[in-house]
Amino acid sequence: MAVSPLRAVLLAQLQATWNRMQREMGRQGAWALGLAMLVLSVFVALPLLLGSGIGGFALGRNLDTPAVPLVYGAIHTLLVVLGGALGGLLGRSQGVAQEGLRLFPIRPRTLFAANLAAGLGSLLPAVFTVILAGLHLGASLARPLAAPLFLLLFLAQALALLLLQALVGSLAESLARRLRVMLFLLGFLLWLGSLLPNFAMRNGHRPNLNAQMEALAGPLRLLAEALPATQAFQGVASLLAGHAAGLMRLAGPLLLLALLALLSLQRIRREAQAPEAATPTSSRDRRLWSFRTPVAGLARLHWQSMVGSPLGRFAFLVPVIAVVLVKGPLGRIPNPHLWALPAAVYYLNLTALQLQYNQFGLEGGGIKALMLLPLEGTALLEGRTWALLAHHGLQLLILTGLMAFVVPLRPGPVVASLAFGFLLFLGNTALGHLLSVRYPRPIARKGMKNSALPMVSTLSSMGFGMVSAGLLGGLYALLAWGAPMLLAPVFLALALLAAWSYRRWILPAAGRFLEAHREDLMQALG
Amino acid sequence: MNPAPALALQALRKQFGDKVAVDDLSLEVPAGSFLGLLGRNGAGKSTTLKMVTGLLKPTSGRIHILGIDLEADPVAVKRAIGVMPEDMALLEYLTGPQYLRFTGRMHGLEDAEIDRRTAELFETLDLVPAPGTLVADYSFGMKKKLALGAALLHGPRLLFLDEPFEGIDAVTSRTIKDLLTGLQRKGVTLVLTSHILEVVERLCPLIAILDEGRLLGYGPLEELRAREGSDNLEGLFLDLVGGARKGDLSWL
Repeated sequence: MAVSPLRAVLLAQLQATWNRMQREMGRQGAWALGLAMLVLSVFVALPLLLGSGIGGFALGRNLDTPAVPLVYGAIHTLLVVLGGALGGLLGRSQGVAQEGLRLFPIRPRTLFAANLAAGLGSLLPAVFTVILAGLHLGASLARPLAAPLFLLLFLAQALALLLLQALVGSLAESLARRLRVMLFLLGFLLWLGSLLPNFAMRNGHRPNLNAQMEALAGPLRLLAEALPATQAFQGVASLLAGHAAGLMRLAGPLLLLALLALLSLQRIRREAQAPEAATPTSSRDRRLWSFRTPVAGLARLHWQSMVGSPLGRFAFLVPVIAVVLVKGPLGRIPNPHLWALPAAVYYLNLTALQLQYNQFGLEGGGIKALMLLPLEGTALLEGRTWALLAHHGLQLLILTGLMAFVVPLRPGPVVASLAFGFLLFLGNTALGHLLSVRYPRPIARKGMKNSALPMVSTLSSMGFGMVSAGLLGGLYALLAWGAPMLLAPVFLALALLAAWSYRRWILPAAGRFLEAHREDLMQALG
Repeated sequence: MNPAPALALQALRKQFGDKVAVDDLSLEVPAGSFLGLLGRNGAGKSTTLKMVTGLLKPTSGRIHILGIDLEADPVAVKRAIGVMPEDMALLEYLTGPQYLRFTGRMHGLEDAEIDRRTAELFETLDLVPAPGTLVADYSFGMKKKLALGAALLHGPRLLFLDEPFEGIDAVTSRTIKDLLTGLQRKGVTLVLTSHILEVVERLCPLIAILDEGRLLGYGPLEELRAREGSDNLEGLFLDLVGGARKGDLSWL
C-alpha cells in the first residue's frame, strides 16, 4: 500500500532533521547529542508530567467547586497561548522547508497538517503539550467517567497550541516586513499595559496590593469566565452533575478551535501564493560602498544584511516587547529602578542570539564571495563584530530610551546596565565566532522560518546565559545592594577589560579558527 | 476529434506591483510536442513556467493542462506533470534515494515500485553518489540529474524543464538530451526554456519567443525562420527581440 502524503512528509522531516544533525556534528556527535537529548527529555518530561498530573488530579477532584474551573481555565489558556505564541515567534528548524513541497500534488490542508504536526518538534510547544497532557491525565484519573471528555479537551488544546504557533509564526514574519505597523501595534500594547497597574487607582492615591487585587478580581473573574478553556471545564463539571446542557458549553470552545484552524489555513494558503518581495534599491545601498577600510566595508555589508532580513528587523521590536513586559505582567514587582533595566538588557541579549551564534548564516551562497576576498579570518570576524555591535547597540539605546518613560532611571545604573549589556554581547559574540564557523546554518533572507540555531549552539548559548546571569547578574545585584556608587565604575572597568581581551587574544584566536575551518563554512553555506 | 492540447494558455497575465512580467500570453501546445520557450533574461519565461506549474497565481487569464483547468484542480494537474525548476528545489538534507522515495510517495507510488524506478533512473542518468551522501553535497550536475529523475519518477505526460542545460558538462548534457528525445518519441509533451539556442534548435521543433512578457513569435521553427527570413534560430531570435552588436572594451 502506498504511503500517505502526510506520513511521507513527516518521515522526510525526521530523516532530514537527523541527516542535518549528522552533517553538522558528524555521525557520532549526532548520536551523542540525540542520546543526551533523550536522557534530558526523560528527566524533564517525567517530573513535568508527574507535577502537572498532581495538579490535574486536584482539578478533577474539585471540579464542582465554582472557582476551580476558573483557575484551571486560566492556567490552560496561558499554556496554550504562551506555548503557541513563543513557539511561533522563535520559529523552528525545518528539515524539510514547506516552500519546497509546493511542487508536489498535495492539497494545502495536507501540507498544513504536516506543518502542524512538525510543530511539536519545537522545544517550547513540546514542553507545554506535556504539561497539558499531565493536567488532563491527572483529571482523568480523578474522574474516570469524564476521561473521554478530558482526552477530547487535551486534543483540542494541543491542536489550538499548534494552530496558534503556525498563525503567530506567519503573522510575525509578515509584521516584521511591516515594521511601522508592528511598532504601532506594540506601542498600543505598551499603552494598554501601562493602564493595568493604574486600574485600581482611586482618588489620586495608590492603594495597597490587596485592595488592588480585590478591585481587579471582578474584571479578572469575568475574563476567566469567558475563556474557552473555562467554558469547557464548566461544561465537563455540568455533564458530570447530570446536566446535558453542559454539552452546549463544550460547543463554544470547539467552534472557536475550528475558527482558529480556518484562519491558520487561510494564512498558509495566502503565504503559498505570496509573490516574492522585490529587493528595494535606495540611496542607502549606494552609501554602503563608501568605506575606508575592508573591515568597515564588511561591517557595513553585514549591517545591511541584518537590517534587510526579517530576523534583524524584528530585533528592533524586542525593546518594545521588553518594556511592555516590565510595565505589564512584571509591573507589580517593587523597586523597578533597580532591576528593570538590567533585566530587560539581559532579555534583549537572549533574543539576539540567532544572529550572534550564526554570524555567517545570512550570507547563504554569498559566503563564496566573502571567502574569495583577499582578507584574513580576523578581518572577516572583526567586520561582523562591529556590525553586530551597531545592531545590538541600537537595540540597547531604544530600550533605554523607552524604559526612561516607564521607570525612573538614574545615571549610575543606566551606565552599569549598558556595560552589562556590552559584556553579555561580547561574550556571546566571541563564543558565537567559534560556533558560527563550526556549525553554520543558512538563515532565510526573506522570512523568519528555518532560522533556529543548531542544537550545539542552542545548548552552548543556554550554558553561557546561565553562567553570565549568575556571575554578572550576581555582581550587579551585590553592588546595587551594597555599594551602589561602585556599580557604574566596576561595570565600566569590566567592559573595558573585556574589550581589550577580545581585541588582544580572542579575535586573533577566532580568526585562526576561521582559517582552519574555511571549508566547513563553504560546505555548509556555499 | 482532436485530443485536448497538452497546454493551453488564454490571455495569461502576471503583474508584480507596477511591473507586468507576463502580458496577454495565449498559446496552445499540442500533445506530444517539444516546445522551446525562448527569451532574454527577465522576458517572463520563468514566471510563465511558475504559473503553469501552479507555483504562482496569474493576475488574470486561464491555464488548461492536459484538458484540466489548473485553477479548478491544481492537485490533478500536479499529478500529471513533471517539473524541473531552474533552482531545482530539492530537499537538500535528504540523500538522493531518500528524496526520490519521498517524491514517489507524494505521487502515491508503492515503495517497491519507487525503488525499482530509482535504480533504473540512477543507471540511465549515470548517477552514482556515495552511499549516504546528502543532496546538499551533490555536485551541480548531479543535482540537475536528480531533479530530472524526480520530475520523471511518476511518469508524467507533460514535462516542464527550466534551463536544464545550464551549468552542466557535455556528458551530462548528452545524457539529458538523449533522455528527452526518447521521452518525446514515447508521446510525452515537453516544454523547455534555455539560453543555449543551439540546443533548442536541435531538440525543439516548436518555438515560442517571449520578450518583456509578450509573445513575439510562436510556431514550428521552420515556419518562423521562413517568415522572418532568418538562417538559423539565433538570427531569428535576434531579429525578433532586437540586440545591437557592442564594441570592444576600451582598456583591453
